Amino acid sequence: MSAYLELFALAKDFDGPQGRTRVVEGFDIALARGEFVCLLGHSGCGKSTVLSMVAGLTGISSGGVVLDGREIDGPGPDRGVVFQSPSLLPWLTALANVRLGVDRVFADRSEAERRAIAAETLERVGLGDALDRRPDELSQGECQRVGIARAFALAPKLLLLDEPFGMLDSLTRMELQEVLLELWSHDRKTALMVTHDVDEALYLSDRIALMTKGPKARIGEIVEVGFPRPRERSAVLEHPDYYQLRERLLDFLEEQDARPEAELVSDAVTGLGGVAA
Amino acid sequence: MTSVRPEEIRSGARPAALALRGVAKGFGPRGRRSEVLAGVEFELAPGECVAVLGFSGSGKTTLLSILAGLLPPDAGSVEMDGAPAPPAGPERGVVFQSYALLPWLTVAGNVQLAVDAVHPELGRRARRARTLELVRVVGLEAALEKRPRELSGGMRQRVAVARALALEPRILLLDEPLGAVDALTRSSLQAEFARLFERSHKSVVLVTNDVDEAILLADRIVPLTPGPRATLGASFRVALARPRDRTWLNRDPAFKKLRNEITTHLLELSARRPGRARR
Repeated sequence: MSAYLELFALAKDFDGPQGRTRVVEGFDIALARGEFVCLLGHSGCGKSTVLSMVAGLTGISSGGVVLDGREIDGPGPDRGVVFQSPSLLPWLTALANVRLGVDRVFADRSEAERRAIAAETLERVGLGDALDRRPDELSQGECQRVGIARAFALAPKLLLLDEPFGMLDSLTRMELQEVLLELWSHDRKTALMVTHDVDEALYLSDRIALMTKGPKARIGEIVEVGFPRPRERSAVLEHPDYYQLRERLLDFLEEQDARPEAELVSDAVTGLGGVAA
Repeated sequence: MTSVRPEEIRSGARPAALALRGVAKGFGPRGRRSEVLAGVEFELAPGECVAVLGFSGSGKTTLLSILAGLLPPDAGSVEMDGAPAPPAGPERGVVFQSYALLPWLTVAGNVQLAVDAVHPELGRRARRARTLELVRVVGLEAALEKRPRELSGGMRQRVAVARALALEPRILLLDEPLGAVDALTRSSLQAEFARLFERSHKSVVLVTNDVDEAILLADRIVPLTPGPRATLGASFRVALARPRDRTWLNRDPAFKKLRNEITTHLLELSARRPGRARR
């Protein structure tokens, strides 16, 4: 497998009142072009920190990230990010929110072409008849559809999704997983997504990277998800491996949860070269 | 659990603890009125726990408020034990998603308020003892003298539950009781709710958007179709032995089958929503 995206020996330190904490350490993974990988772990384990480093929004303490043969250095339009909260500009319509990025990335195209790109992407997330609505006229789920469209419209090399459905109720979440999968299957962008929802990870991913509890979080285990694509919810749920895989993921999360805090604290202290609290 | 089957109710053996007959409810002025619920038929058997499963914004809270007697229906009627329901009272205890605790009172104070209201005949010490007992039931002894802002979402939720139980309601109505707590706290609270329901033999209506929560807690699951004009669909019986354990359920073929059926059914309902994404 030739890697399209490679994270090698990635580490992140944060300075706090107790001194320096190594949040993520020795984080290694390589994604093939067109692969969908989920990072699964408990909240606070450092999943989003990893994603944020790949996005170039957080500095890298050591190690590196290579995308399509080039080491990343800061944020750029080659990576489309979908955040947990879509952070739409409230005074702009859905179309104008998507066009903000489109106009910059496709500055060489005509006005009509740029409009068409934004409108078409919104149509594909099911908002074809809501182009002119502002965020306060949209439901939370619809706002996140705009957030997804905004990232896809830029035709990035890599999609980064940071718990994009974390704020939605579980039924709306399932709907948006369908929307995302449909959009993704269209051109199979390489995607890295952070989630703590086991069913979501199983439905979307080719592989799931299970993260250990922080500090010094790393990948504990990688699980291959072999459900055939294109995927349909009922077929995936009825796949003979589904509940076995689900149990494996739940067991891992439970083990991490049961890891004693004392062990974590001593880990943190050794990580600081003996600087005790 | 001594739940009565709906067949028994229909055969007239025992009236439903709580029922809705042809209920409709809308909001807004004429012309721009939005019909939230329409043609809702519902029956809760004595001792039964029913989960109403629906998307956010589909009218779940409106439905629960009507069941509680806090909101009058535009059409149709609410019945308790086969007779028209009296105004809202302590026999129907409600736990809201927002907890609605009094911020200047401690955990004990918030629960005591309800105990005092229901048991004015008891002495101070007896009422205090009852309060402590309830706080213990929801596992908050250690936080007895804490105020709501010093508590996590999960803990506040427990206070709200203890307060509802203090009313000694025959019927417990829960509006997304675990909607505001994080995933880990949610699973431990769900387990506690399951134990609580089993012990107390109350009739319970639980409104939720979480399929797993519904299966873990309910005897029967009724999907609420997406609004406007939401209504209750055909119900799914949850014939899984109790106590229900998450890990163990994951291996149970009946659980898998039910979970898949309900999930698929809900997604079909959502696909039929007006103005929705075509797939």
